[in-house]
Amino acid sequence: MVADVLKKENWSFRIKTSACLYATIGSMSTVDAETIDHLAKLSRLTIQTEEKNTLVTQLSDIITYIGRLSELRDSIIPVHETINGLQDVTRSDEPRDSLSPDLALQNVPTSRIRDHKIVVPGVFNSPTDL
Amino acid sequence: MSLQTLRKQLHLKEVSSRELVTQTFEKIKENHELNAFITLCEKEALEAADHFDKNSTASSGALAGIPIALKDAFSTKDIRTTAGSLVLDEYIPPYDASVVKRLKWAGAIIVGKTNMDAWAHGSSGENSDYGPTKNPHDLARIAGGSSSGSAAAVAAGIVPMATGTDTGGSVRLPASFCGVVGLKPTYGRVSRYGIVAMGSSFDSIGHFTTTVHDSAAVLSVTAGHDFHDATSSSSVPVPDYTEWVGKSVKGLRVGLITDFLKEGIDPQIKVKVLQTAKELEKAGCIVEEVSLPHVEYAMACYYILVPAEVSSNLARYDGVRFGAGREAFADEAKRRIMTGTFTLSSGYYDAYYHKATQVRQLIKQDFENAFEACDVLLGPTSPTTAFKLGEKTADPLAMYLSDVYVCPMNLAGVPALSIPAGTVDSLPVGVQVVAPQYREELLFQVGSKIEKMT
Repeated sequence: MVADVLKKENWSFRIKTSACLYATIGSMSTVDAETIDHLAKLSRLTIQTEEKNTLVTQLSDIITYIGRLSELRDSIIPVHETINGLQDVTRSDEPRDSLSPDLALQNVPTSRIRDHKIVVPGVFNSPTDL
Repeated sequence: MSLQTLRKQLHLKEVSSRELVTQTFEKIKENHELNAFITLCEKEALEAADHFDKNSTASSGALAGIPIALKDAFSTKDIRTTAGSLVLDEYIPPYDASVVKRLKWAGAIIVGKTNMDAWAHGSSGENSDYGPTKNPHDLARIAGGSSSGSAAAVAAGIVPMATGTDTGGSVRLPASFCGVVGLKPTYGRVSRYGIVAMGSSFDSIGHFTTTVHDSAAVLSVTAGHDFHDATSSSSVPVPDYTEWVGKSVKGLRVGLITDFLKEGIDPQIKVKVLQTAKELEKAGCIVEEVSLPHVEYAMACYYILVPAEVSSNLARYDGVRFGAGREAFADEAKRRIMTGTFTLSSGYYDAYYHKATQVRQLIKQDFENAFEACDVLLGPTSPTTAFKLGEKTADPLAMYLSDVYVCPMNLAGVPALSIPAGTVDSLPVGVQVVAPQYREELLFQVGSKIEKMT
């Protein structure tokens, strides 16, 4: 049913890549191996070839199911920022205790610690270096 | 044994805290097949018990000297906290979650960290990287998730109280499957600070107990504003919730959620819910049928918004500051991260994420409308009893749909309590009472009545 609704509406969906390029990846309910590769790249996840087919089926099922919200036509519904009505919660700008450097380094892999600092992957390196 | 009874025994010096803690570790060993715990803290617990036995006074905290367990999503200073995932297999938090601090201030003694679906992603407990938790009522069945170990530990009588998190039913569902009392408080009633985040606009910090009174007593400890969590309420005072336990329910208006009694529910569970409604009517409640018109869209809405928040929350795990790298994520976390990445992506955002935020609003309004006519709502906690291990693992969507009666409350941010309502084919069944935001006292008032009937 969801697929029919989509077909009728002829929706076209695009996904934004990390390099700010746009690539069309098919209809709302279609997930293929290329989509999985793309989502994995965006999510910084490594997906093995043998996992891919299962993920295509499972994500297709999930995305078809969640797509049923398009059945609801209420288009102008005010959305509140928080579910319990709190808005613009700020704290006073006062100094307070935080983790000491030693505690902050407690769980860092030793290979990443240099001069009491954390070595992080370079921002402009290839994503595979992450 | 209930927390209330143990407290009395400790007060009268009929038993020492060391004895209680020692017995707890014996029970953990006896019940090792349940796989309810990931990490045990025997040395620390015995030290804390000895401290209590030497220094306790009449004014000791509400949980003083009592052994409890924590879901392994609760950060514990110097005690490993894995969130059920190998990503955090060696992670030792440098601080306590705010709730853990509160429980310690009240004198509770932490005996261990309980098993859970990794990152709290799951309805059965089978997504744990440390193996599934078994149901104490039938070892071939699931305990329910994601707070599986906590529910099993309380149901098996190992501890009188264990904590849980409820993002889409993760306290109430296992409570129902294991036959214990499970509370999901109002979003913002209990601080989320230091709890491994799943869906930050949904996560509600609750607990399991054997009685409704104990549940009320624990909430009186855990609830309240926290400087570290801006979404915790600073304006709603925290009462002594136990004062509502046993209070007359005469004249209370109870809305029976008819949407949950249509197709899909085990007919024997439906009978339990209707019997509960009838008993409440006999006790003087005014029972009326209510409908939540948009609730049929709750699951779809939930499985857009929560994976979106999951993909964002789990983005922090990169193996740089703590934990292993992203290659250590297991299947369910990968599925949710990728689903969330999909729905938040450019071109999809409006159709999925934005639409779901609107539908969430409609569902919240449904609850608000229902609460104009009723004081509390009543319904089943789960459409089925605990299912068999492995029954739904190959079909993630079928697993997701186990949460059908519990996740709407998380979308609306309202509190709910699952209370045991007997058994079907020797397996526990829970019924659920739901109240308006910050009206947990009504849950304990009605819940204690239901408890008495069964």
